[in-house]
Amino acid sequence: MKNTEQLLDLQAYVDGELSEERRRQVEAALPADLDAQELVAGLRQLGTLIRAHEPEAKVPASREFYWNQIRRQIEAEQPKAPAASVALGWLRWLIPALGVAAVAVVVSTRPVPREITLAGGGDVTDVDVSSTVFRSESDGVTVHWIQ
Amino acid sequence: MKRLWINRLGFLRVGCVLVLGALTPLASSASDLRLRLELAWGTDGTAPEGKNLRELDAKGREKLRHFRWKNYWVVKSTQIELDSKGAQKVPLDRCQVDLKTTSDGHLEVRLHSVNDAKEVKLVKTLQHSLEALKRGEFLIIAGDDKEKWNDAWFVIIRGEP
Repeated sequence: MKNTEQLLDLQAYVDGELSEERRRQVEAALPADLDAQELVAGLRQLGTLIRAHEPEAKVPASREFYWNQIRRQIEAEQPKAPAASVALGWLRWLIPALGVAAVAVVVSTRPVPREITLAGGGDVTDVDVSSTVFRSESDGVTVHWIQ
Repeated sequence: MKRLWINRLGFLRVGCVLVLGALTPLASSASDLRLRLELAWGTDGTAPEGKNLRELDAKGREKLRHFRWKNYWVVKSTQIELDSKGAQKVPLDRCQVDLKTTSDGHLEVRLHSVNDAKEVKLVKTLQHSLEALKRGEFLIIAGDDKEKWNDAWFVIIRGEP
């Protein structure tokens, strides 16, 4: 029967985590210790089994699909750069005012908004939001992935 | 008096020609949208025995290349000509696609699931640019297969020349 320290040393030996000196000591003691040999063999077998049968997590879509979504979200959330010139500081007020006016015009001319644009551009509109939209202009494809 | 009548008839003819000329482009644009709808099944496995499924064509597979499945089997494929005045219900095996064009140049798509008891349930409503479809863009609605883990279904709508 071995103590805890010896057992931990054997486990560290199997995992290749012992110092050089300690590893030599364990290797020197192993040929005369049948229990230790059996334990080392068992630990090695267990490690092999775990590595061979480790479950592999897969996402249902490709890497490009997810990066495209992340990139779009980052681009959408990036703040606008401040105005370059102090002389044009009034534009900071004028542009939002024009934006508000434009929104007011759009809202007043379309009293019942029923569509939400999810994927950018004027080509795709989505009435509900229970799906993820992937759109590639270059590939000429729009995918609505139902959640 | 006779000359006056001739002039009136002449105006009438010209009027008819103008009206027909104005209506002809409308009539041609109303029926020029030809679509192909396909229900495809994405899987890493082979096609099920006993079912005569064909593989999705190269263009379709190219559009789906961002997805990871090895095989895309076409369960049902149909071609329609869309009339702008009316809606069309297109059955696709276990789903049904309702299509109609909108006045603002979009195709409205309503996807329904159909169960064994033929009950129809709305799954998704969306709109897509008609111009984009005419340019050859693919509109795909897809999701995980709830009956078979790790597989997926794809409803593929594409404009046909």
